Amino acid sequence: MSARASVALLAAAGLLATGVTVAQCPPPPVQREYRVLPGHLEPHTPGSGAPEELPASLPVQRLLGPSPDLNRVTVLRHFLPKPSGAPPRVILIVVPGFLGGATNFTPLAEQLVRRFNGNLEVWAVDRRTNQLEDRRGALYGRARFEEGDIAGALDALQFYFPDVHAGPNPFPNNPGDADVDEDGVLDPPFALPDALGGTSAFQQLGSDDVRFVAHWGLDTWFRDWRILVDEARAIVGPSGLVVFGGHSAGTGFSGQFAAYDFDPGPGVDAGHEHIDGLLLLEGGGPGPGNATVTFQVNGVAQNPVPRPTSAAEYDALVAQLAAPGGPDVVLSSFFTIPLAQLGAGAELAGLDGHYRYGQPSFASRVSLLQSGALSLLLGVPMTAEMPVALFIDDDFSPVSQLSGSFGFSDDGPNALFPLFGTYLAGPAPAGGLRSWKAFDDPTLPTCPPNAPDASDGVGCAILDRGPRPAPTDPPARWGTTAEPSDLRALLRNQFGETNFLEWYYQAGRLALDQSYGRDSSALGDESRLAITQNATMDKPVLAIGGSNGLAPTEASFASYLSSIATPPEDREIFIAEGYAHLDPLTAEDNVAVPVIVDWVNRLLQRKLLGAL
Amino acid sequence: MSLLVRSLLLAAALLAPAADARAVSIVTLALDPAASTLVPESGPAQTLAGTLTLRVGALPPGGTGTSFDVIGLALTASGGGTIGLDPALANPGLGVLRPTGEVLIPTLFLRLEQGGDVLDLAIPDVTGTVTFGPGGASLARLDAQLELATGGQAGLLTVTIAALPEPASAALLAVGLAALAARGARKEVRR
Repeated sequence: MSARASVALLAAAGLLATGVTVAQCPPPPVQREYRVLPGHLEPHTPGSGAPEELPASLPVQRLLGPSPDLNRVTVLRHFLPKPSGAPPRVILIVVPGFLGGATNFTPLAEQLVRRFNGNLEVWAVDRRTNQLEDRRGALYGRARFEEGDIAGALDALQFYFPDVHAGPNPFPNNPGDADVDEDGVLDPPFALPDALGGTSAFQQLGSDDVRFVAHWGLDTWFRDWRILVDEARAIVGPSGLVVFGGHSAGTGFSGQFAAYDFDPGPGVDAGHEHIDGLLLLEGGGPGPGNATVTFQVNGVAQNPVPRPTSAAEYDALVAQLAAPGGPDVVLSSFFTIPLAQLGAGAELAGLDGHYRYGQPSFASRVSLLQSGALSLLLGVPMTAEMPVALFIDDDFSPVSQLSGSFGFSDDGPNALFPLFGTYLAGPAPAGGLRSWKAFDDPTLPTCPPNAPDASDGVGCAILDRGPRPAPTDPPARWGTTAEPSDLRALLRNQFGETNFLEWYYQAGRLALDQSYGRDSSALGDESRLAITQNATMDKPVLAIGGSNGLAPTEASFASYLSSIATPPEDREIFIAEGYAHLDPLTAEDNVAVPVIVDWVNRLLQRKLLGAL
Repeated sequence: MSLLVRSLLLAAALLAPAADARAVSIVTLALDPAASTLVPESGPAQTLAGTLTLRVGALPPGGTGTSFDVIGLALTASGGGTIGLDPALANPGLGVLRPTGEVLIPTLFLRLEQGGDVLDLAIPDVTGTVTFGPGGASLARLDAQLELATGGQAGLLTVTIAALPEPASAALLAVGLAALAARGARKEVRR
């Protein structure tokens, strides 16, 4: 009998064997593999081969070739091979939330995989629309940054954000021109080879370019993910664990997955029967839904319509979405920012920050950051890491759904932005550049002595939000805020095999399906949507919130937990004090990790004993 | 307290382990230094000494088995290093014991220390064998071997554990068994 472990940090072995004291060793490198697998065969999707198949538009063909197959499911696998060659005993499949990509989970996944020394893998899902991202410029830019080819890196910026004369929307105080390479010339858009054998500029897709997305409902998503669950089960075996979970809105999707009836007929094949536990990260799980559905057209909300109560009504709405000129099937903008540009900008800013940390920002030269809403946030001269930092840090980001605690900037004046309760960074003194102070910097400003309203011109990275509410009180933020997340890791996770932001977040069909919340029985037709097994969902649940996030107390999870059949002793909640919304995923030395490890250990023991 | 009451209490105390044999047991085993070693791929072998404490769900294990948790570990190698459980986790050594005596700890979370250095590591798929006492109601011996592929100077590190009930535990076990035997003898006489 033997157990064999690859323990890269085993200077300890030498230590124990020789009695020699050894200094800190590097942790074992967690490996990543981006896997593209055949997904559920949705018949309207390009490549399905079915009579209903819709053609791929020219922009889509430029990205994916003349005959793309978009019925695919993709996952970023984090793993550490066991020297014995034995498979892992646990696979955790996780789904990102609103605008999230697979690398949202990378820091957490790496810590979990390393902690289990290969006995657990984390598979982070990218939704189908990730296939539509035109990442040619980012890949080209990464190669140029790697080579130190600055002119080439600037070309990558001009692929997505060509020079602009007089600016598209010079507001409030920007110069209006965007001359990315600062050569005084209005350069044409930079083009790159495409999948049709020619060259083309950035293919920013609109809803009319991808009408087939109208047919990607939750049914399609869940059948994609079921493929992953089945594969994971085949790997870990009947005595291993397949745990499903999500972050933020991904907790809703994962709860709906557990509640899904995969049997197309009158029988029941509940999603929860195929998993061993549900992990909710900073989100309360699926809600009860809405009585109405609201579509958007070019980002403008239309009048709500009643939620369909028959297949015919449902099909009529899907037909609207599938028709050219119909309502949006992908979110067109976010805070007035074109979403695909935001995604591309984040990836470029990640590259710039990663390769040129502390140097003057290239990314902030582009028109996107010099105009409109982003100029308010990022309109001052800054170093390369700052655009990502200011956009996403909880002290500066106006978007709490995207914020984590990555440090602070206090080398220039900060002012309170009353609408959001976050800070606006002013220009550094003497024409300098605003720069970032890392999460572990001992001089991060605290309140007190600094002022939360930034009346002292600084504000606070760390402040006390007051006592913890009682478990039955309405959710409210509490506790001393923490700064656990490393900006450098975040920058690194903006690019690579996949990315951190989702450029094309589904709209329309998602709004329709989400209106049913955790029970689609009201639709009365399981062939369209079959979220009918929530009340029978009885698997253990671990819910993790952040006291400075969107699920700050036990009450944040009460609605969902009270709707399922999981016995009270199997409903566990852990609130990480001071953590903001992203921190349970991005924190270094993540306090949620030992909690998850312990929960998984207990589930695995029960599984081995046939008690789960 | 009357002699009768004292006798009854004593009898109850002696008989309790046997009467409650299927309840959770806490068992401390001591390593046999003569049979417990830490052997690097290169370099001299060391002896291992110390104790491990187990929480066993039910003895004898029925059905698919019972829980078999390492809840305490205090090992010292002759080179001076120590091996304990990872204190950051609430349950670092959860495992199962099959009726056949096979032990599986899916992941054993350890802490190694020497001097000021602390290293936490996880060992996947730890297996071992339990030798049961009479009737399967006790643990008479635990054997396990861990192989750690260090990749470092020591190469493959093999830890062999042979653990027996501590003398105190063994004495208690003997008393319990004696009580059981006495009770059985009384029953025989009544017949």
